[in-house]
Amino acid sequence: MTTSPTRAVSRFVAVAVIAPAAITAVAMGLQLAAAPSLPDPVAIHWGAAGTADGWGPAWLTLLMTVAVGLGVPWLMAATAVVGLRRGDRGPVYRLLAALAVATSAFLGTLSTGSVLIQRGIAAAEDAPSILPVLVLAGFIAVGAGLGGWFVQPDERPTRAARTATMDPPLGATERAVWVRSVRLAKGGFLVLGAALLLLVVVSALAIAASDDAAVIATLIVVVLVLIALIAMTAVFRVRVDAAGLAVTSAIGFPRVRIPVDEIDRVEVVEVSPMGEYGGWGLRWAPGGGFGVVLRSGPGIRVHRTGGKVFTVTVDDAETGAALLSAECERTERER
Amino acid sequence: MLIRTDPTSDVPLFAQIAASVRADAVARRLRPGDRLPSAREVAAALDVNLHTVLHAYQLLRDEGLVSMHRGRGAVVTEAADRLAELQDDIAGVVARARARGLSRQALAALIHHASDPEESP
Repeated sequence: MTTSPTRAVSRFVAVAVIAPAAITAVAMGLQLAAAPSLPDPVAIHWGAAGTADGWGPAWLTLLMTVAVGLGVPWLMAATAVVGLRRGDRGPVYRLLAALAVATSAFLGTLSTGSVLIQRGIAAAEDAPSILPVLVLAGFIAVGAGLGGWFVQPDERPTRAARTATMDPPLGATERAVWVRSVRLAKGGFLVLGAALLLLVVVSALAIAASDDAAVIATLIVVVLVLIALIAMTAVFRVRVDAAGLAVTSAIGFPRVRIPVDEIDRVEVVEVSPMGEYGGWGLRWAPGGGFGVVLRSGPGIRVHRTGGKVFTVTVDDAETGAALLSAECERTERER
Repeated sequence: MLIRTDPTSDVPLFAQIAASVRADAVARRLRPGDRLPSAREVAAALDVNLHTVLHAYQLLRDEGLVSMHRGRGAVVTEAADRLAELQDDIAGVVARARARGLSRQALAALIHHASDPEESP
């Protein structure tokens, strides 16, 4: 199978940018065409039982269709397109585009359906149940998501894992240590910072709207915990010595220690945080194992004896991996 | 950065540690502004006395390669970049010496002699 280098990008744009725009345009067209036969105001909210319980002008539904049905998918696309253009690949990008088009299809169907079922009725109080529309929107969203997933090529980052060796080799009586610190990349800070800002804004709005002390306390705790988590995972120190690999946060926790006798083999890999791990920080990727992923570029990947995999992105990974391999070989020889 | 020591070598351990740090600067594994790991961490990893590592760090400070800051430890100075400019020359002379069958010890002695003929062994 031959895929041109930009096919993943063009298909991603088609699924996550163009398709939501087309879906939203169709939804807007249908809603505008139905406008003359709608009651005023229209029902804009339905209760859990499926009966209408909130009213508003028809343009509100239209606004929501554009703001959420197009805004959210485009926001999702915006977080990924930079990495993709740089040549980054991975199933996470594919999933993101599929989710973007599914979101758009769901909201487009739901909002348009909610308008169309109100055609010809005298007052919004007579609006029929929203439940059939909800079910239809669910099916269309799943279909759009699956379609979006399968039209994109399954491109994986070219994983040129290589082993590293020391030059000159580690002597039998030699003792060595390799230490390096790594900090969160600017891109990671931006994404985490934006997520934090969004949470703070949403929390502030929720707190302003709520007078429930428990809700306010919970939101404040969530924001503080998130800030603490970002601070804890922004800088790590990586150390390789005769004991093995140690990866420790600048503030001492969290830490990962892998003794040499639990290491099967060591590789130097090129890591793409978005494509492989879906983001930055302490990460777990299906098939990729656990990772301390703070930036794109070289990293040390350790295959443990139990089959588990651990990856840490770090500058000069070549030297660290070489020493770790040498220490493992020495342990094996002594056994 | 990578520090290599050999307890069986005739060279004192503190000098080996200092030489490793210099080699890191030459190879650009250490850049100005980088922080050396704490002496305690290095001592534990290499299984040497804490004062041996401190001795090495003090030697490097006297050379101007690192500066000591209270609370921040040893920080690499701009001198690391000047040291790194020697990388090509050093790699070149090592390769040419190896091609001519010169041993590492002989090459080291020659460089020692060239830089300080009076104290040459």
